[in-house]
Amino acid sequence: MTETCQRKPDYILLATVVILVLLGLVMVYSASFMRAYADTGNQLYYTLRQMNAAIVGTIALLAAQRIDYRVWRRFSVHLMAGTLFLLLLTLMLPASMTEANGARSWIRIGSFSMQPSEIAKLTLVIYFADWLSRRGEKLTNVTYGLAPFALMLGVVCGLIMLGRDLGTTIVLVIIAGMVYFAAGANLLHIIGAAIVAGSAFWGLINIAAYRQERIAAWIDPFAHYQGAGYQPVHALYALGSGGLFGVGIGQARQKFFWLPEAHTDAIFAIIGEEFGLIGTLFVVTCFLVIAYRGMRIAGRAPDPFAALLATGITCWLVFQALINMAVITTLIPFTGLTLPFISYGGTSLATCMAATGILLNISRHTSAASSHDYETVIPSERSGSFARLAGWWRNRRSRLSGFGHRRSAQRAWSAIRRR
Amino acid sequence: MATRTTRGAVVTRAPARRGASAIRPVTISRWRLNLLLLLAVVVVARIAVHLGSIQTGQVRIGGRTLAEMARAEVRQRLPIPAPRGVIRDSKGNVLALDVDFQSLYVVPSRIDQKHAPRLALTLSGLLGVPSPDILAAMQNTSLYQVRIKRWLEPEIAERVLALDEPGLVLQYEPRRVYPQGAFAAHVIGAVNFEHTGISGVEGYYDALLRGSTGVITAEVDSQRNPIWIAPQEVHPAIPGVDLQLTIDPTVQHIIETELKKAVDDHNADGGVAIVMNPRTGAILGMASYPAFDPNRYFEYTPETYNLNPAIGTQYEPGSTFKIFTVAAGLQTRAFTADTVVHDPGSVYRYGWRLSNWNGAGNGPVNPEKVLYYSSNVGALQLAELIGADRFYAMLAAFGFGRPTGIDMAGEAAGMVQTPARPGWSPLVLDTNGYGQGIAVTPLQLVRMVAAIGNDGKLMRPYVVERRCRGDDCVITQPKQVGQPIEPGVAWTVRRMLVKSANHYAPVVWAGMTGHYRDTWLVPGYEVCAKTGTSSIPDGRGGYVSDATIGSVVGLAPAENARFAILVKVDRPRDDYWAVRTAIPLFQSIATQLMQYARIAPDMGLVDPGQIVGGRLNR
Repeated sequence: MTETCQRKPDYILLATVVILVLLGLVMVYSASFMRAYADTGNQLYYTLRQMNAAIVGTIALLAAQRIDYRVWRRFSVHLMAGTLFLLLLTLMLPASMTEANGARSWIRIGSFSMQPSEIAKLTLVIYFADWLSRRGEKLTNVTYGLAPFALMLGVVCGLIMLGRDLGTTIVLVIIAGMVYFAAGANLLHIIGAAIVAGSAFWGLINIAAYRQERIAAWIDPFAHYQGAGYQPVHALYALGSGGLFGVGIGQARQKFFWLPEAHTDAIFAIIGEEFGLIGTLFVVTCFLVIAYRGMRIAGRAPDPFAALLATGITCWLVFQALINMAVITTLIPFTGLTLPFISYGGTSLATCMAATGILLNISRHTSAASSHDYETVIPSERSGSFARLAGWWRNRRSRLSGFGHRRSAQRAWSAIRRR
Repeated sequence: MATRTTRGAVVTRAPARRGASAIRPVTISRWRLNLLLLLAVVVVARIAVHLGSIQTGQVRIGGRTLAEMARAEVRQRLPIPAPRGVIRDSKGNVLALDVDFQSLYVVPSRIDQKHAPRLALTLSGLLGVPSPDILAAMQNTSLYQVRIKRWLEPEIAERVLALDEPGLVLQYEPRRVYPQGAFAAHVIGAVNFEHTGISGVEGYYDALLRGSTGVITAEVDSQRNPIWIAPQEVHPAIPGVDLQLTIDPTVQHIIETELKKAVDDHNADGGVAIVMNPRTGAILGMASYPAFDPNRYFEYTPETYNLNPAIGTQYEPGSTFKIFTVAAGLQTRAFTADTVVHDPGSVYRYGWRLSNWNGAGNGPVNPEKVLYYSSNVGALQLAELIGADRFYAMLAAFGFGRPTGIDMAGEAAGMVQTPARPGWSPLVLDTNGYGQGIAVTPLQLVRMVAAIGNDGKLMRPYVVERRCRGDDCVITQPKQVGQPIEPGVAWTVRRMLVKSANHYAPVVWAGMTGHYRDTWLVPGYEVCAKTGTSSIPDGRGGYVSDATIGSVVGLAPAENARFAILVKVDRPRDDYWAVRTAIPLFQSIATQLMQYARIAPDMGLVDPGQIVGGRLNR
């Protein structure tokens, strides 16, 4: 069914994300003020940067929520090319502009900094959603389906691995694999690819001593307290100290330089210390809600591209979060990943929020068969994406006169377009 | 329908309008999406279960919950070091103080092991520590941090800091510094690497100087700084007590310089000089040579820095001890100043021949002449007149055979053979009469002479004048420990000692006066002095045949004495009787002390050819 109807966006999803972002801002302040004070002398340094990113993210979310998702499809190749260019840039620019914590994954210009690998997650999802949705039955073919897909994924992952960022690579492979699976891939291909990816992963662990150390530290972190076990041990300390109800907001002890990366990768542990099991289960539940609503949107998407895009974005947000939590709870070996919406990291926050906007936009277009309470039918065949973009601008302008006018203005615009 | 696209049109247009399309659009199977959702639910459930077991205290490591372990790590008792007290001389110059130096530690887990050998070489060049040792420390990952070198010079610390290596940590640690080096080293003593005083005043007053370490019980960050969101309990440190010594820097300087010169000129093994205030017992100067630099005490032999020869060595006092015999006899009324004994040069007692130093007789001698000629035969007869009971009672009254109680570590008691002890015979009394068969410390001997200069009042010697904790000071009160002799006896002995001093004066003055008759030892002043040449026991019951200890003990000036002085030179090579070494040393010190004390010279006490303040230019 390709008849779509414009509906209200998924407010439950939106509310969940807003809650997570607000919780994230509070927790970034709580977890970072000591680190910020020690690094810069301003205890609000990281908090203010995160707030800037949240503002940018909010604008991106609102914009993406308004831009018809099909626009992305038109630019999927351009976006991918831009991303590859940025990834190459991280490898070619001088180390002082790109390196942090041993990984070359940054581009820093003055006080502005960004992480292209975060953007790569979104563009990869868009690109594969577009590409896979156009494959049709060829998808099940190794030569036309699996091989080009693996090649493309390999190029992107290779660039990121050259920057020594294993965590992002794993997330990318998982997202791509899930989108591929959702698109209707042959299960045997998936299993075969998983074996290949698994052995490649095994090889990556074995060529770097520090990764082997991380595996050893995962098996018994307390025996490697002075080395790779230091961060897992302190994450466990933080969670354990929190107990059922937590030590209270702002009262975490592990953030006083005990737990490394307390405001970024390990922020979930600080949430666990300050809000206890209640807090951690709340965050886990929020991501479960995102998973459910995201898959619901994917299931009701008007076309395969939208469905795959929604699937990819949902899998990305949810599984990155789950991997992060599994790392913090020492269920899996340590790898550096941010907790979407919550961890400090401007690029990550803004990209996640933009992705949420796209998801919300898809939620507004639902297959007619499964939609019930549509209010406005988008009728015109000729109305292209640019017209839609223009319409968004006009809608925005009309919104300036007041929120109450929005719906009537929209109706009026629809009426104009119908003529 | 909806989008106008160039490429995507294939998918999104209604198939009906396109007719039979070559490419069928991808259809998304619900079961695949549901499977992904199910996977998410399963992972969430696994994480939730694990979170539950962690956060309800089910995970235990070595019997302790994670929360307990975290608390044990975060809540710490941090010591607050108490600064060790400062030691000053009587004029307030600092002799010892704590200075914070940076020590270099390495954190092996933060060292890039690939570059460790190169870093070790660089550091080796800077620090002078062998690079294999540094490398071993860097690779010792079982420890959080390992010390490479203690107390870096500030310039070196700066250069290490400039290396900007994350695995190198500089920490301030207090180091005991003696800004005047070897000056008064034996009095001050030294502290060891644990910051504990091991000798001298540092050793004796260690507990006071050390103060008491405070404790902060607080929750800390990983740099061990207390965190401000948690309350902390503070038991502040009590800083160490500052000490002001009785050591007068000028006096100390005079005796150190003169002693060093005398020992070096005569190629002696070493020497001791003590200057004491007879009225209070305060030690104004105390020098031993060879000395040591307490900043680098570990480069010397333990005997050098552990033993203060002025209080810790025992020796046979020899002829200087005849002062005691005379004073004790006069006090006990065993004889008077006019009692005459016959000195034929040598006498037989209990089968042993006891003789004078040169074997020559002096005829009938009274106590004054016994001191004047240093007659062994006379002195032993005087001792016999006193009798064993009274002789040893007087020895005890003068404090021989037990420590004087001076406030310095390492004092010896001396050795006195009393009749109560096995091995004593009447012969011992005879030899004790002229200072053999008994061991004393230089301090005991100078204290006895100080008592004679102080009208018989025996004082406890002390070296710390003032103990201050902040502005709260305790001033040491001089303490009289007894009065072994009456003032009259003391005066009589002093008159005899002035004659004795003048008898030795030609050793210094003969070159200027042109004769060997008695003259003033220190022109312009009356001083008391008695020499002694001590035989050195060889450990087999006899004496070393080729070496002696020369000493002079005396008072300056004789009346209202300001200084009791002892000099002692061990084994001068070119002077068997050790008198030509010790007398000029004593004379030079006494002369300079009279000038320093600004005591007006009496021009009636200057002989032709003498000049006030004249010293032998050795």
